[in-house]
Amino acid sequence: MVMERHQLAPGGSTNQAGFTLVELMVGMIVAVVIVAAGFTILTTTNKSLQANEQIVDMQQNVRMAMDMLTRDIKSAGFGSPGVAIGNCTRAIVPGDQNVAGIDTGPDSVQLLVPVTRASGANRWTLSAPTASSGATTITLQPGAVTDMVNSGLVVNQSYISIGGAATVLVTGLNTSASTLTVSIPPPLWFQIADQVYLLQCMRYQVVLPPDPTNICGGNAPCLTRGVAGVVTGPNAEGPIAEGVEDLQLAFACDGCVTAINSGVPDRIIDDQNGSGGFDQADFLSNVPWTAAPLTSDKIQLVQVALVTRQMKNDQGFGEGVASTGSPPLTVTSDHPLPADSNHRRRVLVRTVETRNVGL
Amino acid sequence: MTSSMAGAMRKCSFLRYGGEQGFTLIEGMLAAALLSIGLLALSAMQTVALVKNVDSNELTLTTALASDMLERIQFNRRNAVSYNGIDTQSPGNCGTISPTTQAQAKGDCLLWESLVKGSNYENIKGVVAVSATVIPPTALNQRNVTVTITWMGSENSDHTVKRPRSVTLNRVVAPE
Repeated sequence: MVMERHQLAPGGSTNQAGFTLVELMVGMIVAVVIVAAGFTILTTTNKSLQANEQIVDMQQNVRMAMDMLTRDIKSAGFGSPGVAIGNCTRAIVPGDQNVAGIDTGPDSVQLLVPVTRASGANRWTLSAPTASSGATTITLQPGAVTDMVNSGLVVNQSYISIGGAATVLVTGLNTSASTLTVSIPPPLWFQIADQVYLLQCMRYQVVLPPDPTNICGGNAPCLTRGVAGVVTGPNAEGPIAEGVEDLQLAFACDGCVTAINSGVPDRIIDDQNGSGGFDQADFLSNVPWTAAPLTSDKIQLVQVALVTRQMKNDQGFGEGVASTGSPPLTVTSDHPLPADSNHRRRVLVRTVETRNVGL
Repeated sequence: MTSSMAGAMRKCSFLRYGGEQGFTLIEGMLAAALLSIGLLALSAMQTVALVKNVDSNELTLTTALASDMLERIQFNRRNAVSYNGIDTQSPGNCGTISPTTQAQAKGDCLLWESLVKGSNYENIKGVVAVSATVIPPTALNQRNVTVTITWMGSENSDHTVKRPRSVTLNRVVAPE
């Protein structure tokens, strides 16, 4: 086509000049340099984008995990009947990884928390008021009792709290009528739309690779929440935050040293180390919290430390908090993380007050 | 096709005889300069994105610090007033709190100071203000507690100016 055009061009001449080899090579070299610069920009941008996404995810994960955990610590013990529910012999059941000394892994904790559904047609609220002369049956929104059974309600085992005012054992249920058999003594009575809470023993646990049961769905390490040992249903243990590598808990208690104020709580954290004041050493980590006077119902402050890492290896933008093995990354931790320079990390520490534990 | 475009095509076409002209050095350099400005803008965008991430991480950590102190005051709510005036940058911080009558507040103050300073943010300062008078309804003996953390944030994307940043948490605390 081009050739034809050349030949057919009016006033055609043989005096045509193309590029010389040198010109062509110089042009190609320049083009290669420009394309190489373009690709460098492209790959750098791509790396930076991935690094950014990893950082955003990691920061969101640690914040979310901290929010859920501290909220549950605050509500632990809400409406507690004072008897063991599942593994929760008390409102807080700390699970230090190694109570004998330095930890070699993350801690866990089980919390007796109220579970409810506040919205939707099957929300867990009363659909009719109860009589002031006492009640043996309460009626909930249609579908609510079925939902509660799916969430782990078991007759003669589960306790519910109605409006936080009465905690009763469920002795029978009818899913089609959406009723629960309970015993509410007079003069207690409840209004329509009062919220009903199912008390459940939720476990927070960090699952590390290789994650044999695949609870993290291929995204180990992760933080899981759920009733210990349950694998299906809304109350099953499932991942709530990816990348959570370490959970360390330290507890400060009041009324847990017999020598201080005769072991009676005085709203001052007990001095565990005889320092004459309240200091970091009064937050205890290596305690089973089962033997009096150090029992978990005396816990007043909980220091929560979470460590998350990015899910993928560093892309060559290494600027992160790399773990060098020791000292531990967190102030409350007695667990040195293994050396690993391939992942950025974020550490978040918060102290929360337990609102309902000693009630 | 406009006449100027047609003219440009004619000028650049090597199929024409005579008057063959490539790009001049000036033209080429101008084009390269324009391209480099575009690429620089691209890299500046990456810096902005990274800085925003650093910003959000700082905000998360300082919010945790502020809420840490609020929780401590919430536990020791009967003595909320003793937390008034805590200033982690003041040389005599915690010195005015009695270690015997206010052991809890004293310990909280010292622990919080080390937590705030441990963040290693530039010029970080944590301040607690508790209202001296109770707020109405007075029968409840409620007080207004404000925890403020100020620090020097990371650099802007132009790498010159550091911005002062702050986070403030407010809560009404009532002894039971």
